[in-house]
Amino acid sequence: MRRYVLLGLVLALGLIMAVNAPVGGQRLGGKLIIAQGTDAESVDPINFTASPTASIMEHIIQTLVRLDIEDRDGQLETTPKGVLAESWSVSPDGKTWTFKLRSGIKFHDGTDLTADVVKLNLERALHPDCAAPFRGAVLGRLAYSPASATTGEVAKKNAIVWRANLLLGPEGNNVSVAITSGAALGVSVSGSAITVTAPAGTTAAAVIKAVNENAAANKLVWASNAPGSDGSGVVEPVAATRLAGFATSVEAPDASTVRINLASPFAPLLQHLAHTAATIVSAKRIREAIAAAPPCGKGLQDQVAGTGPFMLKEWKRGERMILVKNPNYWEKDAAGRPLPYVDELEWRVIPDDAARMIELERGTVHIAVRVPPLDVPRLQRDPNIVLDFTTSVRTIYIGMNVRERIPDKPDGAPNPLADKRVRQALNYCVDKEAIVKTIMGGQARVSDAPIVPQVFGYAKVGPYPFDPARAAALLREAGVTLPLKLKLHHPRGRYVRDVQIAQAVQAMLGTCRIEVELIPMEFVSFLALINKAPSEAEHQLYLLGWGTITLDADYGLYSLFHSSQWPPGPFNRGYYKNERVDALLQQGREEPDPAKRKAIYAEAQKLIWEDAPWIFSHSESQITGIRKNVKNAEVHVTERLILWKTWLE
Amino acid sequence: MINKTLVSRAEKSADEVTLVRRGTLWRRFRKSPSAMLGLTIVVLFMGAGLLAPWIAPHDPLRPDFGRAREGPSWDSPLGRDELGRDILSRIIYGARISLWIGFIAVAIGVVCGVPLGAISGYYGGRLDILMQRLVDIMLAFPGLLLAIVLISILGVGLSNVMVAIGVASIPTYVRLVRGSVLALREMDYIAAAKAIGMSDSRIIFRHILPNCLAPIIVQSTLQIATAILFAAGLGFLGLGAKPPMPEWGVMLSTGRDYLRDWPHIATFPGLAIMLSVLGFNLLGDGLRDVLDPRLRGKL
Repeated sequence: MRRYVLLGLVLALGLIMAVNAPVGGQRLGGKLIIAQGTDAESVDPINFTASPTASIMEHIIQTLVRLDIEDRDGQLETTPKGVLAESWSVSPDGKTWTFKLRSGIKFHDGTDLTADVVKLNLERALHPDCAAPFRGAVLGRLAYSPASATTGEVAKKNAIVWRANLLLGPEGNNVSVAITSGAALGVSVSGSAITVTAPAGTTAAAVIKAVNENAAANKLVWASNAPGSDGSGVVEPVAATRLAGFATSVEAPDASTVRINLASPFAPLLQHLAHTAATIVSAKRIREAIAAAPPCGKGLQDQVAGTGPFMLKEWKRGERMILVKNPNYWEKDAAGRPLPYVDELEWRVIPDDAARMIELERGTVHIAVRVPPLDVPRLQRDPNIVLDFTTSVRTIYIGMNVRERIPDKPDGAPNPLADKRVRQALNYCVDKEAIVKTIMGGQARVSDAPIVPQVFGYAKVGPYPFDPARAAALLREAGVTLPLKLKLHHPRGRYVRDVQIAQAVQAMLGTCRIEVELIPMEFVSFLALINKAPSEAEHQLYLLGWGTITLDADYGLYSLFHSSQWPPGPFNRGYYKNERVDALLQQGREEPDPAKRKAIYAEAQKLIWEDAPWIFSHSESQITGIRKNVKNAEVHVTERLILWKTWLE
Repeated sequence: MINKTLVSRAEKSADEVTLVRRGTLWRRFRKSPSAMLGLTIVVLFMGAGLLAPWIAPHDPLRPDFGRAREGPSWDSPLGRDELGRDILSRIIYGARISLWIGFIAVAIGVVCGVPLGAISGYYGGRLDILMQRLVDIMLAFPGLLLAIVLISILGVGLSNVMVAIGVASIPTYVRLVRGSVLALREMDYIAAAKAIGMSDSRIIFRHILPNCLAPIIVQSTLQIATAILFAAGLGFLGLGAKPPMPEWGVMLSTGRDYLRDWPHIATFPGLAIMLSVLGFNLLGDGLRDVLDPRLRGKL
């Protein structure tokens, strides 16, 4: 009997210890060192593009909601969880979203989180002049209300007094409204762009009158005087049905309520608000910054105040960034203890893969991202290192400029890639299996759709098999003179084995008598090069990756294949345009029924696959090296590290 | 009339002297084992470069993904690289590129540097001061840095690498030739040539420069080694030859990523760079010893 009691006691003790293990075994404090390949570009939510930056930013500034992700047999299920928003509701017609903010949250600078702050942040992110990189992809769906920007501005500025890039024309293209001084007041419509010219000193009311009176412009925009303003006006979309998903405004009815009004239902709104581009910064910081440089602000790229678990302490660009614990952080762990556990995070920049791995193996860093796949077997043998394999939603592709001429103007050079058959030939000529096996060490997946299977709306439409004979036949059919010479711009050190992939593709295309010149570039200048209007763009082939981090096909397809998303700004960098695809992608945004959305996206992917605007290569997997004494470090599907619940043993 | 015969006779006798010396030079050169080793290496690499299409066992550009990163075997004595290309074939073709860069770069240096140095030394005065200050400025930059600056102006590419390295070597030649000319200018036979009214250009090219030949040859041999090293360095940094060109620096750079687990990919191109540079340096040293013993320790 006593024996059983003892056994029971031991079992009970064991159970208690097991339950308490994550809390009981942890040590508080200490400094966690993370090595990434690239430095943060900025810490300003409207001024960044890459996920390594977002990974750091999300420790400092936070979004209204975040996506909790569960892997169900390869299909990732996302559940939006409140971060700064405690709860939310949507009106029966799906057009009004109301968010209740968590109470008692303070920014690092001591100010309170209120609905006004959220409104200010979202409006800044939507401001056309600020040209936030993700504005079109994420927040462009919420229309920027230009009333505040135009009030009194017309008379003040001399060059372009007013510009709005947020309206959709009948073709789905961006419409830019610009008022230029000097010329007589008039409206000209060229393609999808409206230009309003007016002499300096013209009031906005006069401009709006001109727009109203112009038949062509009138079809696209509806203009009215903003009530109670000084004659300045608001230009708003007229054809609301075409402009699905565009919020007409962000409101703050009381201190803890934020309301977003949409013109029509927009299914993935919560997913979009979970994007790092929709993080909330202290209003005090923003107002200071805007006062220094209206309307977007200056200095926020170097220092922000957020609500996150860590505060930015020191940033030596290109070297390291040090974050210190926010002692007043609002979130608590399951046992009610304050988060975060560690005192400091140090993000080190180590671009060289080999050097990053050596630091990890020596133990001078705790976590190293982007482990080269070929190093995996060696690191797995190391008893002090644990490798984390989290799927990624990033697709790697080689985009093609599909315009008739490069650059796309009458004296540009004829572009062989404008022919669908040539683009298909390139796809047949590249042996994706070999890339995955040889270069990625098997730690990747050959693309069979423009997006990955974990994303909602994915449909298997490929792959293009490796078939050089077919490629040669297609090239012959297209009447291409061989050898065909092409240029491939690619980044260096941004994606897993990016340089090696480019070299492999070059070698493969070489066997099909397509001579590719490689132009490796530093990532930020590479992005600038491919972010040009087609009439200025010189690029032919470009290697890029896209993470569909909202896990919804809309973010993965609309931004990359809709013809309204041509650069500068958005991400359709090969200037692909297919009217049917445009229509489908638009439908996908407006359709609330998930089953119908799936069907719509399946058709769109099939068409895109056939048109082959990319060489569809592979999707990456994330491999992160973590020292054994680091506990509970989470790697998110969207390529973010989550370290506020991490401790060191 | 008399003047002309005298001069041509003097020129002829100078040629005969050189002819006579040539035999003894070779005998002296042969005695130095390190010089002979250098010559052997240089001849080997030059042979490989010239005969590349005939002796390379495989196509240097053709990938074979199934054999990527394979170690040395009978079929591929130096193994296969990250894309499964034969490393030996790539090194053989690479010799062609490296030597070509070396020769062209040195030619640029010689063609521009030697006349400038001669003019500077021969005329002296303000022109000399001006040119030497310019040379000082250029010499103040480390050679590779100067080449990188030039590449950033000219753009990345193989021909620009040759120009950049060649231009970067000009000041060395200017300085070298000027020094020799300064000494020769005071010689009696130059005074004599001047006295009989010979033109400056004839004096410089017929009477002064032939006597500076020894240091120029020695410098050029050593300069080829430097040029190969610079070209590899630029290729390594991504500023020189571009993939898939089998340039040694590029090969070293791509192989670096695999150093921990597949060291052969980077090691063999590295060895090729080392050996060729060593070869030209030994050859240069040997030439210096026989051509101009006074220069020992000065270059």
